[in-house]
Amino acid sequence: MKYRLALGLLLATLLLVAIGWLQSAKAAGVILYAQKTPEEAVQSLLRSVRERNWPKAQAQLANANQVDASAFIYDLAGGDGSLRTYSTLEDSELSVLHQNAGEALVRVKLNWSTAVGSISDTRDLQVVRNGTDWKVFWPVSQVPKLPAQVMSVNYLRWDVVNRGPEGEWGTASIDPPKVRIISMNAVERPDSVIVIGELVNEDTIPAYVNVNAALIGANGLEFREEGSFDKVSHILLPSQVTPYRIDFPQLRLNQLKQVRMDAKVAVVPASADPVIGVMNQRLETDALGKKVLAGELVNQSGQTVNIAHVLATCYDDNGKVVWVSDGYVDRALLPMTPQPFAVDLPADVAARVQRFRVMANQYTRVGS
Amino acid sequence: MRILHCAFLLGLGFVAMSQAETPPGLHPPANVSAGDAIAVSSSGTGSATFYLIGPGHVAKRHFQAGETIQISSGEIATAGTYQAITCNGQECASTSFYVTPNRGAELVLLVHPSRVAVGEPNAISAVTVVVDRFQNLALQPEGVTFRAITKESAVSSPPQMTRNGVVWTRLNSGPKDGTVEISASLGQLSERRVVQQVAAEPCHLQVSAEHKGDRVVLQTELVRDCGGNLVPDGTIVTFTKLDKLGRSTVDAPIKKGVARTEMGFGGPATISVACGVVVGNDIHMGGPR
Repeated sequence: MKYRLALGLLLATLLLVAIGWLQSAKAAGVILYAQKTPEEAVQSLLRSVRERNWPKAQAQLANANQVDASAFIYDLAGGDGSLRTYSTLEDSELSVLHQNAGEALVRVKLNWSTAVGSISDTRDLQVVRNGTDWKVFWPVSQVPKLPAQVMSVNYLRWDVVNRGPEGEWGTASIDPPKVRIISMNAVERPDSVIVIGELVNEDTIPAYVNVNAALIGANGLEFREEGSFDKVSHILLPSQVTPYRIDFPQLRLNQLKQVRMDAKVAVVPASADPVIGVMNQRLETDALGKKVLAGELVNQSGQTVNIAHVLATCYDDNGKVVWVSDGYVDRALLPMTPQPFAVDLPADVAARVQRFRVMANQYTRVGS
Repeated sequence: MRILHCAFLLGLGFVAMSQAETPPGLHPPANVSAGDAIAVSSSGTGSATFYLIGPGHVAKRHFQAGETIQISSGEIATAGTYQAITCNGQECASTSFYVTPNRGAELVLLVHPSRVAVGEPNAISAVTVVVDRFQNLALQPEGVTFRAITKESAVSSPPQMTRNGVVWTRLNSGPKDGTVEISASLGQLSERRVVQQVAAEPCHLQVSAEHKGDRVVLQTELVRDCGGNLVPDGTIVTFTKLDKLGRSTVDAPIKKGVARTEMGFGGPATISVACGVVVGNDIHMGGPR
């Protein structure tokens, strides 16, 4: 009797230790048993991606031998100083679109935490059965490579020479560029009021611009003020037009009497390069059924653009700005290599859009 | 004898006392110009203290009442009302005098804007402020001449008299781009500023297209304004191609007078070009050759 109790306690302890070890191994992504479902296979792969354990992630692929390791890492971890290189995989949402005995199609929405906020990336992954195991079949992609060539660029830039703080009163200084707000529209959304519009640089030198909006209430007093932050192209070349967007969360349109706009302008050194073309812009419905304005960005210079930012202006049939949307592209823009982009549009806005204009901002690391 | 001696000493004491109590007086010159040294005569007797309180300077020194007080040019460099005070023991006397600005010795020229489009009426303003050598506003009227010099021509205004030290003029911008030098002169004094005259909005924007394999090269002709001036480099020209794949746009800066870009070409397309509010010609292109 005495030994039976001790033996029982020993067995229970061993069982609990085994369960604990299995759980910790699972959490660490160690494959101890077969991936019994396509979802488990994808989740296991994504755990390795989150840990940035690339050899382990690649080893879990059905076509591991066909996938180039550098291309696989470039695809998931980014490169060339792109936004993806400043990102980590936060979480993912899976749904099985189709499954039979031998293969399945899993839609995965990857939510990346980036330096500029959260960015989602939706992919349809093919998962194949391999014996009792399921493995992800990764699409074979190559790191884009341009043939070696020399691209001549007539480099055009503006430098600013100031007299410094000790400049005498009355001596010549540089006038700030002439920038004009050409449209402003306050639109109400279910959870906010959004001030949108456009401004143009009417001068012959580049301008640094920042747009602020102050809301005036029924009592004639200013009660809120916000800036456009990154929802504007801060550097405007001569004759260039940029949209702007200023969000006021938790507000209704009937709470305002007036919006006071203020564009702060300064003269800054700037470069006219690189030129980024926005190709094949079109309104379409994405895989998740959302309306998007999609297209491709083409960097027309020989310099790699690390981070590209897209600003889209949508107009109704009267030419009025009805929406401004923006989005970051998490891939670097390599010279002459199209890079897809898509920015969301609310469904009710998309129905009213008759015309749109897309521009691309760029952030380039010095010396890249 | 002893009584007489005492009476003499007492009388001498009274005389001395009566002289020490004479209040000191000051007599500054009627017209004083900034930076010109002056002498202020004083009256009274005995040692006294002199104070000078002005808009830019305060001084204190001891002097012998009745002597002339020398005020150096540096002590009255700033125009305005000065107060001169003398004190002898408990008694003080004061007087004030006004120091007027001296003759104009420097010009401050304010020209606005630093860039202006060609052919704009009254687009350039030039304001001249005349100051003396101590930076006091020279209030007496002075004749200032304005000149505008470009590569092609030079014009000058007749002398314009300052009012309260200020005179201004407005100028039209010229018909050609380039720099215009604006100067103001007063006697031997002269000050100049440079204004950049730049082309106005483009006129007759023309684009041409050329096939190169599966690409099309778009290039404008020299982009000029209606006066024939080249639109400045860096000005954005927007090329738009509309085809079955959607709308493609490139914002290309003008370089060496022309804007140029390349786009993919895969079927019938309409190409247009715009710069600011000016729209150029449309090109309709067929299928690939």
